[in-house]
Amino acid sequence: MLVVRRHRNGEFVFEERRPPQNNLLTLVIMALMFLSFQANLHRHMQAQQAGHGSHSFHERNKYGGPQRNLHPKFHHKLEEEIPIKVNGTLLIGIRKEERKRYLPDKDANFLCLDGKQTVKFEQVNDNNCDCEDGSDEPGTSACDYHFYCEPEHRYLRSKLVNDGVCDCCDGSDEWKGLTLSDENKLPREGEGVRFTPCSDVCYDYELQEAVRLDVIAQGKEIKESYVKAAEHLDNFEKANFGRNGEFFKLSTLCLTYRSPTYLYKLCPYKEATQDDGTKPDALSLGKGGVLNLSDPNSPKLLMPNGKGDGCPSGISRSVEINFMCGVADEIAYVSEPSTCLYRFDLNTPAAC
Amino acid sequence: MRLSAALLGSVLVEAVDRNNFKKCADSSFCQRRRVFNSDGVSPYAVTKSELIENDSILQLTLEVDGRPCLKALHSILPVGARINIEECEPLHPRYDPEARPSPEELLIDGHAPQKLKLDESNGFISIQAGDMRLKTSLESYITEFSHKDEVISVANSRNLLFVEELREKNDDEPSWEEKFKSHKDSRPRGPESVSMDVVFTNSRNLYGLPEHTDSFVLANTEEGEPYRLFNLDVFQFEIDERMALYGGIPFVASHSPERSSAALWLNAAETWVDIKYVDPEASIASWFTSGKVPEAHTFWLSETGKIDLFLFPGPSIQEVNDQYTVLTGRPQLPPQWATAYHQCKWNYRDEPDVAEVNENFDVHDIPADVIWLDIEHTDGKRYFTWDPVKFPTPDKMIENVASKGRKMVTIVDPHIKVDNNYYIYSGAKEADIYVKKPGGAEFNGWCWPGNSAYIDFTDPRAREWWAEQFLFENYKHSSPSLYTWNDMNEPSVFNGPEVSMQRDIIHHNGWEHRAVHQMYGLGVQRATYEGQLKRDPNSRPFVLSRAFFVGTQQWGPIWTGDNGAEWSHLKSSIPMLLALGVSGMPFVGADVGGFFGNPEPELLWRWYQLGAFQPFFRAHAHLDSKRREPWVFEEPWTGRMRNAIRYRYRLLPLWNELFYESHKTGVPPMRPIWYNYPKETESYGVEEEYMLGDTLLVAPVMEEGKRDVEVYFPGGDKYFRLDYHETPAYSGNAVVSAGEDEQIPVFLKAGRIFASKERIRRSSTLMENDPITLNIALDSERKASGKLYFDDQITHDYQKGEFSYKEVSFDGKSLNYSDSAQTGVFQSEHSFVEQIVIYGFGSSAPKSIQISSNGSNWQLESQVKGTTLFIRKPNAKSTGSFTLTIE
Repeated sequence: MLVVRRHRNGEFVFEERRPPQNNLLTLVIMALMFLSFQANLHRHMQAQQAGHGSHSFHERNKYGGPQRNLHPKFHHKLEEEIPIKVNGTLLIGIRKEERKRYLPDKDANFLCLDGKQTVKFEQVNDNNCDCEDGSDEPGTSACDYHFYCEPEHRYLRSKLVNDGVCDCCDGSDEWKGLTLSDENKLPREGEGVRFTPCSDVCYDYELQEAVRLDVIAQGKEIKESYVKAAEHLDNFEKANFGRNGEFFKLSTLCLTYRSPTYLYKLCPYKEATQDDGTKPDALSLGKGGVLNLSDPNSPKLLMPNGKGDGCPSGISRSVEINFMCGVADEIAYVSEPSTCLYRFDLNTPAAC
Repeated sequence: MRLSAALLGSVLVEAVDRNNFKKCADSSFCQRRRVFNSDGVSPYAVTKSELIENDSILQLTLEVDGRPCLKALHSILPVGARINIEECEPLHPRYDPEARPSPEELLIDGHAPQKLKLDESNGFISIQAGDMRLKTSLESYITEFSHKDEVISVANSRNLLFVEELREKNDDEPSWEEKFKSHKDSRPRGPESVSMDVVFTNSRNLYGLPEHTDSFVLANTEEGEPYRLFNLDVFQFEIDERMALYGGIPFVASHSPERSSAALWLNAAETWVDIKYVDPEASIASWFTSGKVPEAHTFWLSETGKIDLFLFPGPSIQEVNDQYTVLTGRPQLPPQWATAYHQCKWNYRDEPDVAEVNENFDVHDIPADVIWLDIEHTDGKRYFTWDPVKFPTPDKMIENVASKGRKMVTIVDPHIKVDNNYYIYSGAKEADIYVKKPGGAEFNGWCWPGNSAYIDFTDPRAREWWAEQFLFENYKHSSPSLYTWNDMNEPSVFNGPEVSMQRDIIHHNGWEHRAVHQMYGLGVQRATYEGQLKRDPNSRPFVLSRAFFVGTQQWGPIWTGDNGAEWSHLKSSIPMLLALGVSGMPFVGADVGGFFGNPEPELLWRWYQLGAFQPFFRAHAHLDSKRREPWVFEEPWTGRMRNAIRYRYRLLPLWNELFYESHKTGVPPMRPIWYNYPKETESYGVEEEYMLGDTLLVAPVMEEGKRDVEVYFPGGDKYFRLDYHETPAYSGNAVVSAGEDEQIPVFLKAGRIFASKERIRRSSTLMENDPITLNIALDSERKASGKLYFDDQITHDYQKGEFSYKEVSFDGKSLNYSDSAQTGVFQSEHSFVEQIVIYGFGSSAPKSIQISSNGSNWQLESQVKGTTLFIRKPNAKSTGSFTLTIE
């Protein structure tokens, strides 16, 4: 990991290197590559600048489209070979596959990724938003854009860059090494959030990620038996049980969940109840069930028509089941987000 | 008050139950002594006068046949004149918010009366100090207040001065005790009201007297009810009412094209105020004014206490607010996070719920600074405790929220569950600081926890004890990221008269509740503020209160209580907050979305748009309301609400400056148009739009289905719509589009400069190091100016000079960014100026832009959009200095 500092004139300089243990070798190689490359590039850019006037930062793309006319030096480079610093510009926050698009063209310009605008290459990651689409600032917080967190294979919103909170597991989003003032100092530890200076916790992240993927893989396998269990239904009957009837199996089950105060019993598509142990009958929270797949990543089952006693006027209790991918059918948590509306978070292979 | 289904059964209550609250006719002293519409009785004559207290107070003896003699003390303070009246020899002492064991309460001691010049001639006696004079007729006690020889206001102009004589009980007198519904008031001292009239000369418009829901301009009350000031927990209050609400400031500001001035009736008992505007033909006030002038008559009537009238000369409204807050305390400078967005609900139910709400702000890319916990977080409504089942690990929960730079707030109310095993109850009992019944036993009333005792916040010992409870070692699981909300501090007593305390209940030093009622809520908030200072002296406290009184501005913000999810309540938030602002209470807000009921997403969105431009910005909802966090309604609503909230974060640097100005001089951030355009009479009744400072004009949409707003641009000035560069500047009247995907119409006044932060993070704390953008609007001479304020956002170090106060001016060619004369030494290591946006620059780009800072010069690039010039990356430090020349 590199820690860099920005000079008054906008130039980034390396201040200190804090290589994470498992990336030490990569870093040394990168550094060597960078040094030899820098020398060549520098000579070439001087020649370039001698021949061309400066560009206004909002100058339109002369080349008519996103087709890039790369500087010959970069023509056949593989993504992996592109150094992290090109002509003084740090190429951070960029996904490997996109690196090629972050190289100067023959006029030392950068074509914004939407192809609509050309800016000087030195305006890439210079902490000033120049492209309308924000693509000139993948590594800073200047635009409403995104920063690629390499080890987690995901984009972070640009606003997470250099804000004093470590969001990427290797801490690369906090490359500026900023910490908040003593007055605004964040607490030392928090659930799932880490603070500058960042430590590399990618090992933990990978472990969690492996577990998550494993659950999905196993869940998907089990899900096949759920689909099979609904085979005897015709399409009309299946309609309320998911695309392939995978939620049908749940309608044949009853699950329980004990909170500190209540015993919840849930028979999806039939009835959900809450029992506080003081009355002969448990309180009905909802009956029947309507599947809602409007958000494909978060299927829900709505069970309306529970008891209305003690509820805000005009409403009766109802249940919303949030299905989440799991290897077994189990209730993870029950809550009451609004008075008389109950939410059951239910792990099930059907949602994998 | 948040009566739940449990208390109400399942009956849907649509409106306030007026029968629970007194009208003038239900209050014996109001019924008896509301003489506003009658002629004055035979006038008092001044029978004796002498200068006392080193010639700083004129003591007058007032007499009339058949009434006890009165003693009037006249003095002139640096900020205004004071008239204090009571009986010459009262049978019992009368309560005086000043005459308390800790007189620093209202800061009056810090502003001692000045040495007086006495003049007695032609049947008048006058005192003068500086430009101010009080001139009294000896024949009939009428006192004129003038400033630089101009008569501003006249006390007792109509001879309505009346002090009900304190006397021994006479069993035949029917007014001795009083009943309201099932509640009896024993009233051991009998009738003891005080009243007087004050006439503002040359005035057609009065403002102030918060908290009420009728028009911003105070209404003529001859035909209806007077304004009532008596802090009450009013369930489901209604709009266009002069009923009492949660707080009261007995302050009226008069405004005319020539002058603003004001009156403060400093009395902590129930008070009724009548208003009447009088045509020049019928005017009565002055011996001096040549010719007839319009007058505004006021009549003040309080149940007990002394007459303590302060008259402020102005002559501008800014000076009125300055004078008033010198006397009663400057507004607190809030920690910056408190000026950002607050998310509240009765109730976030447990720790997973809080974690999810906290997380959802990030999932939906919405900034937020504070998550609030209402009463259900406690162990059985025992404040300072946590429900062990729902909140088993509060430290972890708070830390998790704080890890994104956010804070949490818990509710701590002044009613204490009667339970000997509850350490707060038993501790306060041992300290003997509860309010007492007349016989001396502990007073108990019904509130959230059931049977409750009430800490006596008028007792300095009680406040000290309460403050101790906020020490980290005392308030278990509290942390530097946890702050406080004081609700129900009117005080609310469910089974008391008008949902409050019996008036014959006994407070510190034997004062009856009737005498100190308005001081109670103030004491709660003050003691909590002092508690937070005790636990961490250098952090700015944050305490939200519902009840308020004169002086509340020193201790923190208030909100307008339990409003409803209705368009009329959205609309009403403007006159309510403006009235508070001109009355010296600047940090105020209304619950976004409306507390009761369920807003349609359109109403909620419009409310977010408006709330983002009001000083205290918090969304809140009733226990029985459906969830309505900004992401609940999905698109397009989430996006619209996100945009509305983000606007607040962009403008935080402007709010910083406005709150600092407020803290230094008492002027409110949220101002009526006439505040900045005092001579523009058309603006006097405007309450559909307002200004932030003298910089932004805010013209919200407040009607269902509406997509345009008719906007009035005052003073012939040009106004530029923020972020709309292709639209020409507005002036006069115009219809402005405010469609679905548009921002609330907000306009930058030509000639003004302000700073914004365009990188919106998860919370304002995380924006600390971020660069600023300068927004400049050129006036017709291509000039503009403004001020910027920076400090560490959270500590009291600014009091030691750790702040930076910048002056920015543009003269058509050069922009000068430098320290103002009042600046301190604060330096921000990281924040720089990243962009300069000049509205009204013109469509042709400049030839060159050169910046020079610290001896070096460099050229800047720029770009024109419409008629706005965008100057790229000046890169100068926000707390440094630079000049920029545009050729």
